[in-house]
Amino acid sequence: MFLRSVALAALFVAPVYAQAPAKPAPAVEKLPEARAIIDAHVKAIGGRQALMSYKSMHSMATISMPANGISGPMEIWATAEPQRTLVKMTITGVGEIMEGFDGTHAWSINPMTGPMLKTGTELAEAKFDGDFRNDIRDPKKYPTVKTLEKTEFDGRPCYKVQLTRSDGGQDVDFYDVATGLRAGSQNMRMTPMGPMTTVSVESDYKKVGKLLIAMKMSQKVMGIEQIITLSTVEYDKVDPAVFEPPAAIKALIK
Amino acid sequence: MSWRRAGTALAIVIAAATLAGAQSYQAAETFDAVVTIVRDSHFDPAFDRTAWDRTATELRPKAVQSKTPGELRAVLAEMLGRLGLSHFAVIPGTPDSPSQSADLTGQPGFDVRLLGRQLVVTTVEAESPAAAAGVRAGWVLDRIGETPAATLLERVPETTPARIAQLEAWRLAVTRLRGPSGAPLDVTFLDGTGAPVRKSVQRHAERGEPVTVGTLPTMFVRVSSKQVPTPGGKTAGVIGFNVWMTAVDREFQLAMDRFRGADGIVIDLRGNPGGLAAMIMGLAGHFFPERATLGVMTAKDTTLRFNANPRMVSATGTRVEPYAGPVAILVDSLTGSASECFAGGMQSIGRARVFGQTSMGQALPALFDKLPNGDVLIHAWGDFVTGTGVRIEGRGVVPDEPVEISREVLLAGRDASLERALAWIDRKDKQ
Repeated sequence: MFLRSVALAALFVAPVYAQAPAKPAPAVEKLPEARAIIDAHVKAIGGRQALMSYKSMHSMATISMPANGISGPMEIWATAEPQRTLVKMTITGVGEIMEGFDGTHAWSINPMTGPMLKTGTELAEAKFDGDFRNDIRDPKKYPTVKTLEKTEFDGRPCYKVQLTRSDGGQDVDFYDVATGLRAGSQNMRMTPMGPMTTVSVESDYKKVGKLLIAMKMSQKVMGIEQIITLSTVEYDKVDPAVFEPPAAIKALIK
Repeated sequence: MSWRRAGTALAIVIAAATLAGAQSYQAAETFDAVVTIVRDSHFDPAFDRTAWDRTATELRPKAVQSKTPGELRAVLAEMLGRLGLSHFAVIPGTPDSPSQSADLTGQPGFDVRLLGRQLVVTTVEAESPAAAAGVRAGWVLDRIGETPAATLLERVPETTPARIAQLEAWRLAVTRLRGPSGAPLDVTFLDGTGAPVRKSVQRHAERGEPVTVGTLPTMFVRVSSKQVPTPGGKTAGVIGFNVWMTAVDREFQLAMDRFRGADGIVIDLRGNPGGLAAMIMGLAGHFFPERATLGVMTAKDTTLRFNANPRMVSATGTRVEPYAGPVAILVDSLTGSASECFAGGMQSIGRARVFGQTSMGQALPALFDKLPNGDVLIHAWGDFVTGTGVRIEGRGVVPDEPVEISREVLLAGRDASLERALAWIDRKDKQ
């Protein structure tokens, strides 16, 4: 038993998903430029100006692993300048799990592994992924983007876009052909247990303020599904003090 | 008798806390779910899915025709047993039959191990009904109720490999010793002179912090710690716990803070059947100043490294250095799963010396999925080898210093494995 034991560790340290099998479209058709596809997504969620107008976000959510009957409340904070993030979740029988990035230090506290400061690739990726406005897929961060194909993802036609990061790594996005909205993504990230590939499906877009937000994200790592469902989203009401690392992390920073 | 019925000790332990909820009886759906989960998630690239499907086709009619949950579970056990691996087992969500009580939450307060062809009391829980009744370590379990222990052991042929025989004998005994909390248990022992001693013990509710993770039944976490003198006049901290659940972490941390100045640490994993495998990274971190790989799990399409996370912060949030002194780990035939990954990992990279009896050899990281009938399927998710490539599944953790269980030592109130570990700490201290 995992945890899930090991399962629990994998998911809580670095979440993941599995998408429906991608099927290449039979017909040859001219594919849109990748940057245009990304820009269409930004427009669909409310536009660049709306996106840039918010400086911080706070969400309440739930996280669950349906197959294992595991669930718990989750809370997410993020700010744009400086880039800071904090995620807290409480899993029944496991305890509170926290992941944070205060603009300099990335860290985690997990009752299975103890407090941990991220270094090297983990730290770099935490900083990279902490971009408050990552919907834009900033060309400085992704110097090369390419439309690979029109395919089926999560049961709907999508454009598959390959994004080459400034560090040379590659991510993949899927954008819904009909709505322009991002349907999901696939990426590999470093964890304390080594690299893990995550496939995420984003759905249930809902207008919150000036933006459409995907209220549901289903992720799979190594075949294990977890679902994050946002219940509330509010902008520009985040107390910066929330990003202050806990004492156990401060002791590691010294 | 098939040794595979033994499943995993962890499954047995958590099954002892059987759920009481009413679930519908859905034989076909449950059988099909087990077939699909195993087919889709089996970690071994060499897994023969065609053969698995043939097995499923063969056994499905039997499953569909089963008249009770128990009959269905027997079919599932047969099917999973053919895989020949640990960590493929079903945890019942209901009694096997409407007339049977599956409440095994009460226990008498003593544990047994197989010694030769006898079940011998190895520990008596302090302040338990067994202790109050005067049950002593070293006594032989002769009868449970009116059932002779020898009759139970007939189901463990003498040709059974020792490691498997230990587990199956223990399973046969413990599932009869346990019962509803408060229910009386009549047991007959043979004392140190061989004389029969009959005791009536009222089973008590399991002690410890109740922990429920997902669909698993509630488990009770117990952590013990004490400072003891070594024969050479040094001091050692002894920490033991019964299952790998996160409730252990803080107690372990507090104990480490107390024992930071000790001449050695002894971690007692005897009878510990495993739990959340990821925890081995956190607890091992108390003994490494830098990340170290305890082991590697290979799943279907991913490889994960179980790296010790150096624990450089005390329970009160102050900076500390991980413990650098000698570490001994005590194991026995009921040490399984995450406990084996930890002990084997620490041993393989030379950070601990292992004492006792060869462990269970059931060390496949596993997941658990709820089935349509409310049962829970435990299924292996990956293979595990230690940091130096030693596979523990089917082999067990082989102690650096094997210590056989001896009735004479137990009757004298001694703990031979702990004594050997403390003596080693003395020797290490002089080196």
